[in-house]
Amino acid sequence: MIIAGGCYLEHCDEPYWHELYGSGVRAAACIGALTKDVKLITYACKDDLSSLAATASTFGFEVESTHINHRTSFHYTHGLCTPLITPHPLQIERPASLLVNTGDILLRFGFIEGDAIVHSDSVVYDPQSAYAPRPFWENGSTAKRLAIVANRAEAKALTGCDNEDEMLKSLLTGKNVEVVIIKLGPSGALVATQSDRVTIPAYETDFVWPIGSGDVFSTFFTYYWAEKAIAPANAADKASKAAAYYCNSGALPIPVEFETTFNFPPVGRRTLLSDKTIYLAGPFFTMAQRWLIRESLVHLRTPGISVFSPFHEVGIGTAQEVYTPDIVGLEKSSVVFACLDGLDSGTLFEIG
Amino acid sequence: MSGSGGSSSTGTGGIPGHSEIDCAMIAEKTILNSPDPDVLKDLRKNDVLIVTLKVRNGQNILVAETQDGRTAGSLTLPLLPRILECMGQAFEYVAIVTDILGGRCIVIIQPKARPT
Repeated sequence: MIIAGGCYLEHCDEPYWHELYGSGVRAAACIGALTKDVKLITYACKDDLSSLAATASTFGFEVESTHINHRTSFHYTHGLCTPLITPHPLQIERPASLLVNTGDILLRFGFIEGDAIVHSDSVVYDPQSAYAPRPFWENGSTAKRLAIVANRAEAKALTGCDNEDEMLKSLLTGKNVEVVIIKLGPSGALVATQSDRVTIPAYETDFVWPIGSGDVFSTFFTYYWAEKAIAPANAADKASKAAAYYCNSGALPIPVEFETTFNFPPVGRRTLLSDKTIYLAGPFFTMAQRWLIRESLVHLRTPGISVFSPFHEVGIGTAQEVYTPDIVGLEKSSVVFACLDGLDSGTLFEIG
Repeated sequence: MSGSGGSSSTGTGGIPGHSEIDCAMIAEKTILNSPDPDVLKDLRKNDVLIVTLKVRNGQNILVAETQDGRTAGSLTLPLLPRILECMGQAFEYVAIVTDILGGRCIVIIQPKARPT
């Protein structure tokens, strides 16, 4: 398997993480236990070459790197946040595109700093950009059979459609597209071919380390669909299990026995709280408290959960002004999610 | 450093030039890769693993071993090349277990002792 993907420094404040991965390196590292002859084609900052070589030796993959002068870093305050990318993507000096011409199986990720023009028989394309994902063929790439793996935001940006059925239909009209997968986070993924559409589940793990889970999904889908010739829905389900395994541990590679030891249940309707409202309790006197409330609101709503946030829906006021609307919101909610920070009496009252 | 939960050698920024980092001052938090589940189930917070050099396909790699010689997992942190250089200068390192959450084992790598 050939992987064209990025090599980036990833830093997360909470939980702590400081590793040289990026989509390309993680993909090459995660699949090493299942298949040999994995080759990564990437750009690499000259300061990172020795680290990249050591990582490749540890995980047993080959690297072909084009050297660049800058390092691209992704800084996460927490695992669910939108990362701060440095240098800013618009300020990165873009090197020449990587050229990959192979008869091998190929996984192509989008790059921040450059691009990969690929020509291959079986290609999986993961655009890896929520803001400006590019169509596979735009840079002249070709594939005899192509699978597109995108999250919902990327599929929307690629197609201009709001409806998932329309996204799938639009992406399936692309040249030689055999499979389209739209990842929906905890709701699983939609897997579509010209003749079939199914939903495969995400799996409920004990812990969730989300950074890079999509990389693992795309890599394992490539392995099962392109290398093992497994049907798309089945390959995607195995990829979802591999991603769950990674989310639970954050460790690489995914071991060979991951499927036989896998015991996580599919994320169910009850888990998703799809018919319940969460009351977001917590103090919002300081900027830091308001930041935490806002982050909680955004990331609870992202998977589609209904949230009542007193700060956002009632606002700041006197006790007489906010008491009644806050209590109405509390009584309409089924679950309280409390940001405990000190002994704020309002929060303690709300959680009972 | 107030609020610092991570590395004293890299702070919150990128990877400094390797030669700038004092071998005796390395204190780097990282995840244990390729964790052996049988070894992991015996590990507890504050256990001390020995950072050991191995050769795989002609290349040096780092692993963390228990005191009785079982390999707990491999180490691939960005500072790995500098740690290898320091080990070449007779520095020895340990990996202290700071967290075990499911299959996720976090260790902090620090010098065992200054070379005499």
